[in-house]
Amino acid sequence: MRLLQVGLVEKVLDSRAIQLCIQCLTCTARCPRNIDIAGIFEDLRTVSAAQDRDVPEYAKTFNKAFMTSLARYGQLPELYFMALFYLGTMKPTMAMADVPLALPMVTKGKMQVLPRRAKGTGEVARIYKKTMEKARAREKAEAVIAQGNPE
Amino acid sequence: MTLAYYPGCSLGHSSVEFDRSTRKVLDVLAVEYKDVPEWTCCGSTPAHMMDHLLAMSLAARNLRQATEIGDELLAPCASCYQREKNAEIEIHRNDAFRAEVNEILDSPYMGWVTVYALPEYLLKRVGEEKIAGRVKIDLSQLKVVPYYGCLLARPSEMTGEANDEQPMMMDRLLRAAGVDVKWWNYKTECCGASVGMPKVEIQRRLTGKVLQQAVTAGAEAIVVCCPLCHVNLDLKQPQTNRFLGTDYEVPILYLTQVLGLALGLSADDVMLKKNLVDPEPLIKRAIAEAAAVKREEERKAAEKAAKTAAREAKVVAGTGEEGEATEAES
Repeated sequence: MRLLQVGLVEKVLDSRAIQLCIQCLTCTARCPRNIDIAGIFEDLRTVSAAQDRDVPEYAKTFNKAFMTSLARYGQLPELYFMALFYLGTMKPTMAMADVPLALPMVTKGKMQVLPRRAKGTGEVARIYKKTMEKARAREKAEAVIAQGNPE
Repeated sequence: MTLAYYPGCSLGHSSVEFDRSTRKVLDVLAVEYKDVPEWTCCGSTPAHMMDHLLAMSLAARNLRQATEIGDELLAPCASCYQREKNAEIEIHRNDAFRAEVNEILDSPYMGWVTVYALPEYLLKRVGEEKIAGRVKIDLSQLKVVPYYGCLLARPSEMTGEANDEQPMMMDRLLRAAGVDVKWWNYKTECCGASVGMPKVEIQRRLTGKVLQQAVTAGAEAIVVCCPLCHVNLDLKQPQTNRFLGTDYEVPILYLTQVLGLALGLSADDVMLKKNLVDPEPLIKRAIAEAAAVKREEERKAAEKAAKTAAREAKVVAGTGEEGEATEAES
């Protein structure tokens, strides 16, 4: 927060802290100045991703796999999502670590093996497409403004 | 008025026992509810990490669907609750933002739906007296700690808890149901669920701490209200043990599983078989112990009554007929 106050925005956008934050909201709840720190971290993270900064690969892959699954099925198909994520990370060792977890889930009937398309999926896909287009348009506009007014 | 029930993705599969036990508890408490028609995912963490408008629109779609049922929505999953509640607050207080969201949706959300978390709904709309009045099974020997995690209590302005460092809603509900609730300091520490896939080491450490603190507090089970906390503490307990070199075997129960058992539902009704760390031996033992304690209390009370009666008889009969009184007693 102090770095932001003194204007060192770049340093914050490249920091590991904003990527490691797990949004547990403890900081927001405890802040004596009532700053929504977790909310600011969330925004910083979207900005750093939009500006193609050094965002950890797993975070990008995780979010993208999640939204791709949603746009296709409306509700989260767990197994399909995990498969997409691990394919995206290209780290088979990580996937292997989760196999012992998936097994009891399947045998206890707690994992949907074949995903089904929920009603309303079409709208979810459109929401995803529209908001992503809007975000890209906004970044472009901001980039033009930034170029037009070099400090 | 009918309550709109939003199960969310986790309750459909990985937390089916949470879904089932919640529905059964609502039935027992005579709450009328219907599923949100054609509900879709709330967007969870990934959506709001990617784009704010995306997250708000996904959540708003469900609020719009809920208006077909009524203007109160129950989201048992703590993560769904946070997303839907955030959308409710932001859209309801800002008409310009509502218009922006409605541009994204197929058809606009024009309603005023209030989103409830499960403990909040049970406390405010059902009440402790009603729950206490319907308790059928004595769970006074079941020692638990309620675990709120990140998303149920924080921040208090939103969740309605008086103190987000010491939330009390689950404590109050469990006490109303007659359960032995232990005090501990880890109610709202994060279990690490959201890094369970990408950053396993962090998750293992955080989960281990929660388990250790619960056991130290004298609890035999942890009560949760969040499917992500449950997966982390229950399903990943063996892996966490292996990573930390510990041997915890702590059953992790959903709030509605415990409330349901107290309200007289069977183990099958609340799907105890779906929990990975088997809670059934613990539940059986707790019920048996409660019965033993009750028998012991009754025996003591009977003994005391008999003694009092004998003493009174002595006083009434005077000194001469002592022999007769002893005979009557034996």
